Amino acid sequence: MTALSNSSVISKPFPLGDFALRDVSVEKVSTRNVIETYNVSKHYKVGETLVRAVDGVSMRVQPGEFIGLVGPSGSGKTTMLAMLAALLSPSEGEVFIDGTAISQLPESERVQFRRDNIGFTFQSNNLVPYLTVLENVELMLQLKQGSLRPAGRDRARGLLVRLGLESQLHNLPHQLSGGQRQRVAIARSLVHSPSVVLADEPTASLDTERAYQVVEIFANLIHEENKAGIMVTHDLRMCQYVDRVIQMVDGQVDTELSEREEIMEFISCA
Amino acid sequence: MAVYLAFKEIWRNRTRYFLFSLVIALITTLVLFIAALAVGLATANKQYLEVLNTDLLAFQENTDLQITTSQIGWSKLNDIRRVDGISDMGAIGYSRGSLVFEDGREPIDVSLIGVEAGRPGSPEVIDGRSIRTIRGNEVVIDENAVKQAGIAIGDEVVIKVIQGTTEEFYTLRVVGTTQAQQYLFAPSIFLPFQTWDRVRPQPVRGGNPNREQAANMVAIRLQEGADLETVSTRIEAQVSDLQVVDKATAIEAIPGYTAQQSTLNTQRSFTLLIGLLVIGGFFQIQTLQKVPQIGVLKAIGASNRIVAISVVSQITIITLIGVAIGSLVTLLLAMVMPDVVPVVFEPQAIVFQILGLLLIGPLGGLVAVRLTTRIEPLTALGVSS
Repeated sequence: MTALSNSSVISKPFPLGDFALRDVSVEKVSTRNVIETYNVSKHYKVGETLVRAVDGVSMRVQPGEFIGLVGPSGSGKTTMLAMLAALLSPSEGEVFIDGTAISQLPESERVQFRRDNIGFTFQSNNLVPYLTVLENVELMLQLKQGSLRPAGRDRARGLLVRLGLESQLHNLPHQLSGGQRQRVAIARSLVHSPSVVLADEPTASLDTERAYQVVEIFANLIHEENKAGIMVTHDLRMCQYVDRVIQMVDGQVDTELSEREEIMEFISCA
Repeated sequence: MAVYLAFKEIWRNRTRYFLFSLVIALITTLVLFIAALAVGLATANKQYLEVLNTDLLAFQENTDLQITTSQIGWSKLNDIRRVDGISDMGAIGYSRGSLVFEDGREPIDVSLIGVEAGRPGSPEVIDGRSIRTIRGNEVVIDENAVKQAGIAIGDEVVIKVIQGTTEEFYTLRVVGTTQAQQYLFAPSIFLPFQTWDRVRPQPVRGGNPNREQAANMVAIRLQEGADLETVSTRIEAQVSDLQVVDKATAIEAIPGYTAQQSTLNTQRSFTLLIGLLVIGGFFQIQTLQKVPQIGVLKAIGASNRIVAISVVSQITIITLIGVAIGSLVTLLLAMVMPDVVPVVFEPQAIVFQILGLLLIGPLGGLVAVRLTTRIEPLTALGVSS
């Protein structure tokens, strides 16, 4: 396992797509871990057989770090993500988000914790079909704060503009392309300033070009906003935008790569 | 937040939800119409007894309180009058006849009610004067007769009855009108008792001169403070062959009244049940179609409470709209309904029905609410717990 150095500067040129992005350099100096898991396992009983979906996984993610969680189908990636999102309790081990042991929380507190501290982008059905683009993003703020304040409204609008959706603010989800819908989902996952941003196969239903655009935006925003981000993906090509790759096989961490050259070689060999 | 989501979803899918609210509107119209029919039929049956200014009613024993078969001899009336606790009483005779018209209009079936002037049973007039004589050719008619026959005070009316085997016609003058007092589905015409005894249908023309004059029913008013139960028992003990009851009991005994009302009440209850099932079914299907969406909402932090309130709000809004439309349609129907249709829209009954209809929405939607709360946020990830 290769640990990320405590202080490192990441400078990445961001290619322009059909949206405007600036060339940004990010200096990461934090040593605080936002996500920490200690020997986390999840097992299910199927008939008489005990299935270990996740088996003794320990990981740490710092603010501003973007992790690609990869592996074959059934390797436990989504189950791991569900535990990090406080949607599932581990059978063994512990998950800490910002120092809080989330599996110890009662259900009602877990819902609130998710609302306040975690942003999520799903593979599909991300958006509420009867709310406009802007309303979908504002929804996250309404859930967190109970009502929408002007500052929140400005932030939602600002994020969407940065994501190139200025002219689609009042469109409904069915009026958007797949890539545009995922960008809205990304905006929603960040608008309430969570410490952790999770994405489950955000590019699964997108063509290659759109997929690159979405992941690139995602990575940029995670770095800019200094969030801890984890993306589960089948498509190893998307790992060119991550800071670290964790590969799971049969519920365990098989490989962890943090050097750019190692990551690019991993992608090319896949 | 929850109500906001409910409103938004209804607005975006307004055609679908409006169509469903029309279904609720139809159910509402049906329930209100059946309720009005129940009141109307009940009124047509019992209106006279309901407005009768009396405390007790006496019938011949063993006649099941049937006014058409009860016969109380005149001698018994004096015995009743002597019972302690009674302030006044009046003999009432009942028979059927037809109001016929010279201009060839269809005859109208009427209840001929013989009363003693100024005694219990005699109607309160709202126009003209009340009956004053014992055997005069004067009548007081109720508002239903006025409406149906177009009769006014001072007019002469012709009543046709069968005496023996022949039709007999009697011309009487209208001296007053009283509030609507239908009895046994016919408008009422009040006559002096002796006139009624002369006019009423009899097996032999002119009747049997040797027979004792009899009333079908006696209206009894008690002294102030007298107990109904005590006085009725006293009357039955002191005067033979009598059954004495209060008005409510007499109404319940009207032929077919109970069966008619229970049938209509059953229909109304079943219609409400159907409404409940229809609403429950519709929203359950709606919820099943939204399982992934609800899963995502919960995954991003919407609590069960928010999701459940959103569903209940939606159901309540749709039900409100449907009931409002249905009530409006019923109101319009009531305005164009011909008078011969026995529907009466009683405000209290209508309000009660509307409240019941508003309740079936949330009640029927409980299944959908339960389903909503059981959806796991993990469905957003395609994972099961």
